[in-house]
Amino acid sequence: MSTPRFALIDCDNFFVSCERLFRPDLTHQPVVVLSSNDGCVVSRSREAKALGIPMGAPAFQYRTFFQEHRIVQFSANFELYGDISKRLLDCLLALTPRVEAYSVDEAFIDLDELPVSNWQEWGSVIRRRILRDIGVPVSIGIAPTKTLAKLAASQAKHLPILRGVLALQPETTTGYLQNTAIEDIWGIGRRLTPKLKAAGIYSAYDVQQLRPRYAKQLLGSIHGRQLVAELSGQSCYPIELAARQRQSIMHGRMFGEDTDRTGVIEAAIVSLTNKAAMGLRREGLLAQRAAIVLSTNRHKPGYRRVVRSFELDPPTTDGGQIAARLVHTLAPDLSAHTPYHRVNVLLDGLLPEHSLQADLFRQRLPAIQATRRRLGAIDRINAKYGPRTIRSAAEDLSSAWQPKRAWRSPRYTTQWQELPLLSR
Amino acid sequence: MQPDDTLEESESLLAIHKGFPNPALERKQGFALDLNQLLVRQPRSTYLFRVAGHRLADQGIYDGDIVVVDRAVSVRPNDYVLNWQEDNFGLRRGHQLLENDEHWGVVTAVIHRYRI
Repeated sequence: MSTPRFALIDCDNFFVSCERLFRPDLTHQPVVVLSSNDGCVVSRSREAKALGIPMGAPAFQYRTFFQEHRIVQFSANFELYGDISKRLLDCLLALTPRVEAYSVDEAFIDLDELPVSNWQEWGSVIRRRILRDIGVPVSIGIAPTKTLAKLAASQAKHLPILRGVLALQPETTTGYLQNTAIEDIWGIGRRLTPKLKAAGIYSAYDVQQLRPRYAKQLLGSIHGRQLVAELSGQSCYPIELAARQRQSIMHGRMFGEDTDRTGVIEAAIVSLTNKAAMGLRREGLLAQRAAIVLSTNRHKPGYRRVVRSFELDPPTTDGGQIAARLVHTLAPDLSAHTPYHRVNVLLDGLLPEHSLQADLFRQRLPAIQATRRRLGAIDRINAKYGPRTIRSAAEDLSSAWQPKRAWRSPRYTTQWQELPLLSR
Repeated sequence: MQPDDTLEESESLLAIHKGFPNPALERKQGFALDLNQLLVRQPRSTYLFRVAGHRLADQGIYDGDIVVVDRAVSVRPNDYVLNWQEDNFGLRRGHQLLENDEHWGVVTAVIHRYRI
């Protein structure tokens, strides 16, 4: 096995840790954070995990359980989590510019250029620095490939003896591979797990030992080869520095309460579509397809899910126009008196705005440009006078779809009115 | 035409006419003073707190003031140190901290505004 090339920095129950930063009294208490609209559990403290609360647990089923066990619950405070996440990235960027923000609570860094001899020690220093400077605990995995770094970080998180840091050494790697179940390997989804288990493959070590032909057969030709190589210490996945171009944008919400009221559902659809469309305009993209998913509560009997989609020709970012068509195609489903729980609006088939200059759309270009000018003017006004200064009237049909956030903490780091208080 | 383009153009014209640059127009080199630079040593480790109540008035820290706290600096005896005291954030002096007292961060500035 060659020298370490990657580190994965992975925050420990990140959302809970952000809440605890401003509530040190909760440090050893069981804490959970709920998804938007307080639907289900998205982050659990170690103490909450020990009480047996599963990830994704529907909050309404656990209300009494939370009370009985004095579990402190928070509504998601994404402004806070986003700000802490940025601070963390900033901390990593001070080490090397080669940082890949993999998700809100995970980042890979490329170690190639760093002059370090003792990686275990280096990892401990970085971990302590993040805990002191930013205030959240992280686990760090250091290894020759991204897949192994991810595996090492997970071992570091779960084995207390490692104190949050594992730099894989050639002589210890086999043991950690044997200690990792296949479902915990990066890139083996829920779909592949049963197939592998049926073939008698249970650990990362078993995957690493697969013969090339068998790996190809079980995991697919490219994926299989790369996964075995990555687990053997040969890097196939480089750090991705530039943000990949988005393939789709989705905005979704659960209704405050399940509803069959057309006005409420329409208001939500229009608002979500406008938000998604504005996001695309900001990134200079156009959508070629729009889809909507309307569903009832899947934890209640009679689960029903309506999916409708259509092509946008020409490609557009006109939220109002898209929303009108979405509402129109849903009309039969909205009159059926079904109590809906959640709505998702998806815009996909994204392409860069400038690609429209192509001959293909030449005749329609004037109309497209007029739309672009109108939407651009609205965006500029909203940027200057505040979001939603100009909005679709349909968004105001009802505010009942707005998410519930009964237990949201103050936005300590992003709102002047919500700074943490100092009183002694 | 964007307003900025006009300015760029007139600057270059002036430069030709006078033969040497007018220092007052060298706005690209000179930066206006930025209070962030003065008050925030390292943004990623700096958090702001709001003073609530009058308990700290005898230290010259008043209700409504904004306290700048840096988590990354090490404590000196005379520092004001932020820590958690029975359900509230409070201040201690560095030399008052006991061996096992956890501290949250060090106060690097207090912003007191007279009118808003």
